[in-house]
Parts: sequence; structure tokens; C-alpha cells
Amino acid sequence: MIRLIATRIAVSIPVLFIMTILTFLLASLVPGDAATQILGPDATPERVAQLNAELGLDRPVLEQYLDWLAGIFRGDFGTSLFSGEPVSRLLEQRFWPTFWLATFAALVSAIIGVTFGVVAAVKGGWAARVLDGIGMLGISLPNFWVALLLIVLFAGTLGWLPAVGYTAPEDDFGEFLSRMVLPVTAMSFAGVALIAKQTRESMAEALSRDFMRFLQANGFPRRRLILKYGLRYAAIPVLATISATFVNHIGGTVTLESVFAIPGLGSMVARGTTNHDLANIQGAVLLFTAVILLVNLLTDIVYTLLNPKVRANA
Amino acid sequence: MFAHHARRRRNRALALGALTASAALALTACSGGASGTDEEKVLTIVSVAPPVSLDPYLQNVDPVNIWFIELAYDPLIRVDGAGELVPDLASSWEYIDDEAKQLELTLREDVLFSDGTEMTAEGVAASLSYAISTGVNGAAWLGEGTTAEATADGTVVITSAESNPSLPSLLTQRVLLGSVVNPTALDEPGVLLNGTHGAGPYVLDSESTVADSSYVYEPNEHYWDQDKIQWDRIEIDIVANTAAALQAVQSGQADLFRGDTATGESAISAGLEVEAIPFGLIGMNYIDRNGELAPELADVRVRQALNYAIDRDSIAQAVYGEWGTPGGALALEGTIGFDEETQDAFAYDPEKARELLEEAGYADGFSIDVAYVTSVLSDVTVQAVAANWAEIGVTANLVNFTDAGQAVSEITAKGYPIAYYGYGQLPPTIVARSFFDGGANQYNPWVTEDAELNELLDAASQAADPADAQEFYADAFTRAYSDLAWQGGVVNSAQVFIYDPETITNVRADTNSATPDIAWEIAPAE
Repeated sequence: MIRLIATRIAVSIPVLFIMTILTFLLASLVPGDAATQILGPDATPERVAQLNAELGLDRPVLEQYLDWLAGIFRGDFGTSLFSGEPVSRLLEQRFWPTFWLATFAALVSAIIGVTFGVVAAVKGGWAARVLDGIGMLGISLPNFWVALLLIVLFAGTLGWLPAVGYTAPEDDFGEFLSRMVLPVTAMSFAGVALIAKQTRESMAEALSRDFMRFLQANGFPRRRLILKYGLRYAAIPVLATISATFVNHIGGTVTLESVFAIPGLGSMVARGTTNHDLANIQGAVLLFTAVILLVNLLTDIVYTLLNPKVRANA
Repeated sequence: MFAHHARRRRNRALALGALTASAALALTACSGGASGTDEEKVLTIVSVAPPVSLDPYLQNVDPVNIWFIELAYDPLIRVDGAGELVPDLASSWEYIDDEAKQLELTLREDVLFSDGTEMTAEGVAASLSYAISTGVNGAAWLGEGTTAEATADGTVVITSAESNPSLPSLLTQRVLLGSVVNPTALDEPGVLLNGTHGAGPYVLDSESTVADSSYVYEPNEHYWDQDKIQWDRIEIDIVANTAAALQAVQSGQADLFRGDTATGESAISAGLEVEAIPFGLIGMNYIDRNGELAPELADVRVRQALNYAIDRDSIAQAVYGEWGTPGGALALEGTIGFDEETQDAFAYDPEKARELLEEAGYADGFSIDVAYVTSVLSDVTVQAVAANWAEIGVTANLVNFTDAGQAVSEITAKGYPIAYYGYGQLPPTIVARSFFDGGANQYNPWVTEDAELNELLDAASQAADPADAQEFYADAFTRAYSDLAWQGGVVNSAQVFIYDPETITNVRADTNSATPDIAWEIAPAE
């Protein structure tokens, strides 16, 4: 197990490194520049060139990247060109809203998805077909559209929940929960569908195995059979889907945080990209990547615990 | 071993139970609005975009962007909700020459900055010099070579190389060039980006502010007129989506935001108030007037034909509905340079357009590139104009940009013969600089000139009498639109401010002030 963790961490370092290079390159390829953004549409080309030079943005991309990288080793993530805030402060402020959003969404997706999946597998027939239908809907509806629909219905028309915004749990826990409901629901929509589908398939397969029929023939109570042996058999592919859903949710924060005005890393990336604020994009993407690697590592550990075969191969 | 397993299982079950419970709690929890608790008077505003910068001089003058500045930086001269200039940090001002080149400002006494230091004439001159040297618009709008000097105790004189009758308007919170910055902050580059250092009624609470998400302002205890401070806290939250922003106001979470044509309609049916202010000049700019890319455009008859072919009434009605009026020239009603007759030149007449094209030798029409920055409204407007032009045989190849910066640089680099424009109301001197005599920019990449137009603009800028200025600017804009057909204006669009009348009052603005004044005017509803 320790070897597994050590190997994973050793592999993660080059991944992080490659990710920073890719982000820097891609962000530099986005048309436009920060100076034009700052100076507005009426600026003369000379003034734009002058400001780009002042900000050091006229240097070769490689030089800018190496500067940024050198900063990282000193613990300096750079400063936002627009807000003048150190990126480390922004990451600190913005990590938790994204963390709560993605985590709650993963939990809700997992709980509801697994429940749906098990029910569909056990009942079969129409339940499975209804679930497939809902699943297709969940996967194909864009999450920002679902988000707007939820806002209009629950905040505008019914007035039950706040439309937008975020409150830290330590400031007002009730407010924190009420503001999380709509974004978490919007985000879980596709996740529930995916997890339910995976659970149904894995569970159906489990139920068709010889050992299950054997146990059932021996008078094992069906409920216990499904919940104990069936779920355990289905756990690994379902877990893989849950982990992939969590990673997906992190990507989803980019659009959803903007719609719900949640001050997280996703909206920071979105804003940074339109503004050409490289330090902001780099910082947020670096943190995203680290979290995703960590989630993958945790998934591997849980696999190993659940399945002795994986353990033996590790 | 077994016992250990059993405990682990129980712990897992407990954890699962706790999570399910919290998820269930999350799903059932509900709450009312967030603002105005404990009788603390809180004004909550929603903005679709964060400020480009908190530095007043690295800020463009978008009417919502200026909100972030005006709370913390008082201008030398204020433009009130009726569009009138009123004293602020300058108690009076006058031109001390006959050519509108030297403006003397007498400063208000006993004004303190938010850190408690005193505002001096030297400090104001330093702030103005910073605007001229470093500001986004300083040099371009005040004019190259403009200087600011503290003359006697409490007076400052701004001297510009060219006549500039709009100087007082440029020093207002609408244009920001007179927003006085504490000179101590000018010595430390960077502090203006994440804090405020002005003499305004409020000051940014940097601790509670999350850049690009939520900006929190507190009263400035050193403000020169404490009676002006009507709120205990002002919060501007960034909600990128206008539909979500509308719901925030509708559900009582926020009090005010700038919407758009779609949210304006919904707001009225939801029982909210809407303050609509004519603001935008929208149209097609025939920039390649020399015919370098498109030889057809060099002929004035072709440009006039394009103008006659645009069905402004239908486009304004269909695309903007209540929030737009047909508009051709570069001045809005109620502003200097407006002329009723010019506005109605080129009434829709496709037959006449065809005749003009035929006279110019293009009876079979031609095709031409049109660049524009994509948005919900620009897409539809540009397509509608293209459809109008198709009727007279002119094919518009629409080239859309998603990045405004890229569009600006490609248009300025003479990449397109026609460019769509959306220009916000500004003093006529600045409109003229943008479109006619301000050097190469996106509105005039080829720097085309016309002797008669230049004469009229010169006369206008030297006119000491406002009535004369009106006449000269109206003649100038008429010359550019009716005679030269340099542009084809389509619509004058309104800015739509949506607010909850149960929570706030005194929301007013005029074309000349553009934005409801959140620092002085907007007050809690009784």
C-alpha cells in the first residue's frame, strides 16, 4: 500500500508539471491580451503596446513561463493583473466554496445515483427504462440551463431559496446550506444519471452471477443478498464512476459558479481566461490538478481495500 | 479482528448517516433574503462583470464599472441624476481664458481622504497629472500636453493645448478624470488595485472583499459631508448571468442591477421598477472611406445607398422593443450636438438606395465584409441590417469576433471596410475624438478627414457659449452623417436599470449622467 501511494505521488509530479506548461501555452494562444482588456476598446495601439511592455507581457512565452515557475518554487504564485491581489490569497479565499460545491454534489450524486441504480436493477423492466430515459436527459441537458431553470423556479417564482451567492459555513451555517441547494442540485443532475446507469448495469451483472443464484437458492434473504453481496460486487465500477463524476464536477464549477455567483476557483478560471490574467488561470488550474490527482489516489486506495486482487497486483 | 471489522462498519454507517442527514437538510433548508438584517442598512447591487480595475485611471468608463469607483472617490465636479453639473470636491470652476483652454477649479475646504490626510491643491494637481500620464483615457481625452498646477492656496488650473469646452464634464464621476486620488497612494504602485484611496463617502473593505466576486464598501468616517452617507454597507456582487441577476433582485437578495432588453421586460411583469436611460449609439461604421479594401465605399452615393436601405424603425422595434429608438447620427436626444432633422435623414427608402447604387455604377450590387463583436443584440442587429442590404443587392459577409480586444486590433489594423459599433454616450468632444479627429483607432483606422467637418469641430471646441457649441456640434455631426454618410446609425439603445421599489428609492439618471448615482442619491425606501 505504501508502495502504491509512493508510486502515485512520484507519477503526479511530472503530471502537475506538464499541466502547468499546457495551461500556459493554451492560455497564451487565446486571442487578445490583458492590456487591451485593461485599456478598453478606445485605446490606441501604441498605448496597448506600452502597457503590455510595462506588465512584462511582451516577453517570449517561455521566458514568462520560467519566471512563473521560479516563483512557484519560492511559494510565490504571482499577482492578478487586474485585482492586484496575490494569487495565493485568491486561492485561499476561493478553495472552500469550490470544495464544498464539488463534494456535496459528488455525495448527492452518489447517494441518489446508487439508490436509483439498485432499484432499477432489482425491479428491472419499466423501472430500468424510465431510469435510462431520465439518465439520457440528465446527461444531455447543459448544467447552466438546468441551473437557470432551478433559479427561476425555486428563487424567482416560489421564493424558497436564494437565487445566487455564497455564505461560508462558519459565518452562518443555515445560510450556507440554503445557498448550496440549487448549485448542488444543478451540478448533481448529470452525476446522478451516470452513477445510476453504472450501478444498474453492475448490479444486474452481479445478480446474474452463479454465486448469487446459489445463495438465493439456499434461502438467503433477498434484501441482504442485494445490499451486502450485490453492492460489494458492483462497488468497483460504481466507485470508478463516482470518482470520475467528482472530477467532472470540478470542470462543471467553471460554468456553474459563474451562474450562481459562487466565489470559487471555477469562476476564477472563467474570469481569468476572458481577462487574459495568466497568473490567476495558472494558480487555479494547478490547484484543480492537485485535487484531481488526490481524488484519483484516494480512489486507488479504496479499490485496493475493496478488492484483494488489485492489492495483489499493486 | 472481527470486532475491529464490526466497528469499522458501524463507523462507516454512521458517517453515511450523517452525510445523508446533511444532504437532506441541505435539500429542505430555505431562507429569505440576505440583505438588511438587524436593521443595518445594506444596499446590495448586482453587476454582471467585476470592475476592470479599482484604480480610477485604469478603469474604462462603462456606466457600471464606474460604480466601483464613485463610491470611494469623489470627483471634482459631480453630474447629478438630472444630468446637471454640481459642485463636489471643487466648490466652483470657470474658464479663465477666452478659448476654453484654462479651467480654474476652486477646491472645497477641509476635505480629508479616507486615511485622514488632508486634500491639498498640490495633491489634486498630482492626481490629475497621474490621470494624464498613466490614465487609460487621460491623455486622449484631456489632450496631449495638458497640465494641472496648484496655483494659489486651494485652486488648481488645468491647461490644455487645445480648446476643450467639455473639461468640466470630463472631471465628473461619469468620465472619472476628476476622481481625486490620495497622493500618498500614487507613490506605491499596486495599492490602487486592491484598495481605495479617495475622498468618497465609502471605502472598500478589503478584508470582506473577494476580488471578481464581491466588493464590500463601508462608510468613510472622514467624509466631508456625513449626511450624504445613507447606507451602513454597500455590497456589489458579481453575477455573470443577467437572468440569474434578475432573479436575485426579484427574490429580494439584491436591490439593483443593470439588465438588458430581455430582463427589462421580465422585470416589469415581475412588479419591479425599471429606469431606462437612452445611452447607446449603435450602427455601421463605413470606415474604409478611401476605398482601399472595398473600392465601392469610396463613393459617397454608395454609403448613402447603404443608409437608405436600413429599415431603422423595424429593427429598433423588433430587436430592442421598448428599449430602443431608431437613430442615425452620433448624438442622442438631450445631448449637445443632437439635431432632430439629421436624426431622420435617410428615412427607409430602398428604391432610392437602388437608384443611388445604379448612379454609382453598382446596379448589380457588390459584396463587402462587416466585422462585429458578437453578443445577443449585435448578432440580431447586424443580421437585420445585412438582410436590408441584401434587398438592394449588397451582400454583407458578416465576420464575428468573440473577443472584443481582438476585434479592436484587427479593425484598427485596417482589416475590414465596415465595422459595427456600439458606443456609449459621452461628451461631444470625446465622440468627435473617437470618430473623427482623434487619430487612428477602431472608429477611424484610415484617419479619414474632411476639411469642412474639421472646421466645424474646431469652432465647436472654441465656442464659449453653450448655445453656439450646440449649433456647431450639431452641424458637425450632420456633416458627417447626412452629407458624408461616414456612418449608418441604426438604433439608440437604452440602459435598463432594474430595482426593487420596496427597498430603494431616488433611482434616477439622465442621458448625460448615464448611471444612477449610488454614492449620493439612491436611498433606502421608507
